Amino acid sequence: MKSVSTNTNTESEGTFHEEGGVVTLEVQGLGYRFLPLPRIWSSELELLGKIEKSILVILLIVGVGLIVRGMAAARDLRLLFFPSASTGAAWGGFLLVLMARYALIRRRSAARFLFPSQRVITKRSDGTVNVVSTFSPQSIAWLRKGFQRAARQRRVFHPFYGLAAFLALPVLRRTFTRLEHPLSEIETKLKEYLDVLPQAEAENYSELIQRWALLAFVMAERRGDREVLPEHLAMVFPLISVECAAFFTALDIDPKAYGETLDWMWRSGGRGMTQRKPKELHYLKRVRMNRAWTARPTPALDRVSDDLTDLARVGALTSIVGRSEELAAIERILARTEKRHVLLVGPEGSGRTALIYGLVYRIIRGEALKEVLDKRVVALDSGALVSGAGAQESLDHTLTKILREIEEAGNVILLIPHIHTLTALGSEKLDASQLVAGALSSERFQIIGTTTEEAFNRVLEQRTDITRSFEVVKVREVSIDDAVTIATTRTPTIEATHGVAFSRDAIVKAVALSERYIHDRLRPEKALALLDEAAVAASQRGGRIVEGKDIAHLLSEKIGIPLEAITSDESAHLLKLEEELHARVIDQDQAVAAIAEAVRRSRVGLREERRPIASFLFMGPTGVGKTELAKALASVYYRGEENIFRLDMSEFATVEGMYRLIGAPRDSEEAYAGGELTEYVEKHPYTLVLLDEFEKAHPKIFDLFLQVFDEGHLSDSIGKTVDFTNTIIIATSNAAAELILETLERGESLTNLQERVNLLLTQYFKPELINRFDRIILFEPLGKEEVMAIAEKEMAEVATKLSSQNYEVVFSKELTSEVAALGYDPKFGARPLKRVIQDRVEAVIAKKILAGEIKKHEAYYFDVAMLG
Amino acid sequence: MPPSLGQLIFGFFDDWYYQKPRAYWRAVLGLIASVDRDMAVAVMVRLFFTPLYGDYSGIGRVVGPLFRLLRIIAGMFIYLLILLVGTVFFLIFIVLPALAFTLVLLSL
Repeated sequence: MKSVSTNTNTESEGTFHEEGGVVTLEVQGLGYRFLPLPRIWSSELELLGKIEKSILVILLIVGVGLIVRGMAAARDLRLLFFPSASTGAAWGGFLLVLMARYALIRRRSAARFLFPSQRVITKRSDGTVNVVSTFSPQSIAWLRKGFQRAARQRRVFHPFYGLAAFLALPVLRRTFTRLEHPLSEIETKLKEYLDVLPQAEAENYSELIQRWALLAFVMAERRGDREVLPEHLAMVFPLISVECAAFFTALDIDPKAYGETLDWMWRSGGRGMTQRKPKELHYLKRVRMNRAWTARPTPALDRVSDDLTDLARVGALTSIVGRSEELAAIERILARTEKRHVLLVGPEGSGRTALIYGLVYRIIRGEALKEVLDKRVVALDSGALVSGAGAQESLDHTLTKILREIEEAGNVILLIPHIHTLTALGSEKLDASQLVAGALSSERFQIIGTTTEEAFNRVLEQRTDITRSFEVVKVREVSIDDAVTIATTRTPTIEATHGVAFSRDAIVKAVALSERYIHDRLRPEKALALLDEAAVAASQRGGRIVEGKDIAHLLSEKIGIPLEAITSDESAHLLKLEEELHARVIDQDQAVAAIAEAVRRSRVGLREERRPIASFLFMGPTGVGKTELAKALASVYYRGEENIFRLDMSEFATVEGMYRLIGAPRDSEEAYAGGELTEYVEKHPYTLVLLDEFEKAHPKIFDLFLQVFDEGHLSDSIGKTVDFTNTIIIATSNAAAELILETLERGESLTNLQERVNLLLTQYFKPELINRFDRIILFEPLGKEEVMAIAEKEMAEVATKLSSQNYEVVFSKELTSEVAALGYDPKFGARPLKRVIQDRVEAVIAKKILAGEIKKHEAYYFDVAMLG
Repeated sequence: MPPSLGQLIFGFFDDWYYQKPRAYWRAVLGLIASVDRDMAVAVMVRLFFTPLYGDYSGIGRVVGPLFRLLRIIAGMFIYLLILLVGTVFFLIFIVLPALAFTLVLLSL
């Protein structure tokens, strides 16, 4: 059984049968065929049509000429109503124009008279149905173009010839543009496919052509269209055969995305649902909903409110996409006889206002339930209410008057945005919410309130006098698929404003990337903001199309995380990451390799997205390069050492230390100031977090990091969630330093030490924390060779620093060896080395420069003697 | 194959005297319906005895129908005007081809 799948993702179990070169599609017991008359493919028919059109145009011109001649000859136009030569000429010309015009118009649908396009399809004698009559003349014409090209090239009439003809369709050109594929690319690819088709006399209806036509017929049926249009044919092309689908995948176009984009372009006509420009608002007619003169006017309410039904009527409100279930729920509640007030609870940006607008549009279109029809939805403006009222007493008086007006009007649904703020309006004895509570309980008119969950819990939950009258409708963030749909319908406005067009990939990427990396707003607004900004950027640089990579680039710049596709330069850079790290860190191959692997995995997308990029625990004696490696990584990959956030955990040994990291407790005054760690990572999500002397932190801090390693986020003291999934966390510890030194002094290797180290670590950390580190890396103490290498590197840096100021110095090998010897201590690693260089080399050179003993642009050679 | 001359002439008259008038009067009636959405004559008739603005007092019950009657009369006047103008244009449309044929024949 072959399935016929369509763009609407519904599958019809249809079966293709082929017999004697004729294909039948059996659907629900009825067989369909596509068997056009041979003359469809005839080029003579086309030529005849062109001749006919030319003759008619000539007749039209002649007719106009006769009219003009007759009118000119008549001198007085009234004479044209009396028989004469000029009258005959003018009126004859008039009739000629009428007939020619009629014939030209009729000609456009001339094929209808040959193949009438009707929905009544007659069964043939063999019980099958020939669907060719359902094909529009344009579909036949485009197919014919394809056939003619195949005939000219003496190749079999394959659907690829049809597609080549369809490329001239504006909707298909727009589709490929939106898919970020220039038409030239498609044409080139198509030519490759056409060139390898077998030579043959072009067949009118090969098996593939018949399948194509039948699939298009099914598509038209699915969409409820009266005719099979060229767009249907274009849309089902990938479904014809594996070869046809492979054409798209070879171009890196997902056939499903192709179908959806074509559908989008077709529905939108290339313009999209551009918002109608609202008429001047002072032309609003406020009485439209009260044209029956039965409701009473509400002058006091009108002064402190906006009539949303009036605004919707002039197109000043955004229309809603989807959300039919929530809308239906709201209407049902409003239509009830009791408890018919609605409280919309949801976060800011979740679409509470969009739902109200959706309700308003249903009312003005007459689609709402009859209990809600012919009502005005009026949004109370608290600001206008307060500013309109003078002293506190008159606010109560004003509000009471407004509520009475609404009651008497009988046709008002009152919307109170941010209803929780009413508790702050009015006097201490009687605030605005108490007055509204009275109106709520009387149920004489309907009220819709909006609030957030936090405000509901904080303010309204205790106010049972208000909440008991409301039916709560939770408003959730739209789904990702709905966000893409909404973005698709809202982007035309952005496109029109900035003169650009978004590719499909740009819209999908904006939703996906904003979902991943922007957490302070909801979808689809965060995606739309990104698209808006990308459109501005594209417009400024003169671009016309905003592609997915533009979105990635923009977001990458905003948040400092590389999101674009990996370039060849970056690939090369990533592949030799170890080399670049070793330029700063001597030895420690295991650690360098582990870090490089983690970075590469992250960049190509092969990592767990709900956890930090990587987490390491570096263990070893002091001064062996643990911190230096972290700095090297920040410098090499994080675009500078400033992108490293370093904490000396010995400063966080108390509970207060924990509050420093995540912010003061909720009930304290400093709670909203935020914590050092959470604030920094929130602002710099792509960062390397270095926790020095991790074992010295307070145990409660270890619990915080359990959350980070497990879930990739950390909640601060006021409950705000900070995303850590783009950080690398490196904790360093000297806890196992003595164990490592002892092991090496005994001449044992560190390879078998891991178990003992883990056991040692349980004295400091919980086992579950130890397990959550990606790697625990043991750093070996530096040997003499390593210290020598470090000394050479450090001395070279000194020379480079001096060279940048035009002082040329050269240090002898013996000097470097002596410095290495002085700076080496197995217990303290390379730390003494830096002090030796500072005190015994740099200090001496500085003194000589100041004394004028070292001059610019002259070379100086320093030997062991300088150490004194 | 293109249509024959007979098909063309027949089609022209079918279009001019049947299809187009149907579409025309549909448009005229649609215009009246659109105006009624503001004038609300049909609503006035339906709610003729309902008092204005919820005024169910004695005076309200008397004054209401009076005002509604005025509005009905005003609305009907406008609708009749639309119909009249529409009819004039329609008659011109109908007469035009026949007039043209007649004058051409008389001029021969």
